[in-house]
Amino acid sequence: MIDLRNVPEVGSEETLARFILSSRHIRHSDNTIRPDAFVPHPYNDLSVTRHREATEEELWAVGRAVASLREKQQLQGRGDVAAMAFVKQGLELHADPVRDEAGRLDNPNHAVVTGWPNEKDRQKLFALEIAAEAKLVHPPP
Amino acid sequence: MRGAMPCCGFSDAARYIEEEEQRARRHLHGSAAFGHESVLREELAEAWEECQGPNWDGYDAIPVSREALRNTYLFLEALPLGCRHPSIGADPHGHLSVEWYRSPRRVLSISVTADGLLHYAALLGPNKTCGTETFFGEVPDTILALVRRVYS
Repeated sequence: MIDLRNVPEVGSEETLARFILSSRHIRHSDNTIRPDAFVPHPYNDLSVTRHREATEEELWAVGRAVASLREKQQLQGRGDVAAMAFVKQGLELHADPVRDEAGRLDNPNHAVVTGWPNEKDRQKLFALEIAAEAKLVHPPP
Repeated sequence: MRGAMPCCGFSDAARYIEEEEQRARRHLHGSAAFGHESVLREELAEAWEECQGPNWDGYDAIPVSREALRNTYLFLEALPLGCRHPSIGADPHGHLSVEWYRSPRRVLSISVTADGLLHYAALLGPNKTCGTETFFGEVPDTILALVRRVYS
């Protein structure tokens, strides 16, 4: 994982992960991701985790920690997307390392996607574009 | 809040014809040859079941309201005979989403809101579009044209 004392800004060449906690966000017919998974509401930003300097095990550990913080939620998978997919929509990427005092979720690789339009139809269009470039990865058994 | 209004004629005759059309449409949707209403109804019920509570997506999504469920049902019922079978999802705004999907870049997604709005976005190969229509009980032509383009 990234060193919390030296967190670089997010580069457009990076890969980002969006953890998916609702099966409703997966098209089970062809294992693709519905755009709803990438709509940021109710916040103005979308929470993602950077692959940078992280192993597969570390990424899944973050995903399981995210799910464990939510009541009744199970980790369904993660959507891996090139950072460029967000940049192409005019969205901005910011490093946003998370340090939890309770030690339940330290995620130096956390980042946020900002700059979303207010109009719901435009949010959907951006989310469709991003989902079209995302790859669904299922959690290990 | 504003509910979606069914489309009405102004005379008894117009009302009679509309009722007959609706009855016939319901019958055909329910038949094995034409219909997918029962499948859709089941899918809609499942989506509602999963998404009616707070934080259903793990990222503080708004619960899907009964009004959104009702409007989505009316929207699905208003689809013309022979229309392709969409799938049902939900978005974190608390809307149910209706999707016609052929591939990641050939897809139409519509969010049906509690106050009868249809927020839509589509990727159609190299082209894309988005917008908002009001649902008055009939599926807007704009939406039907986009459904056709997804599969053309």
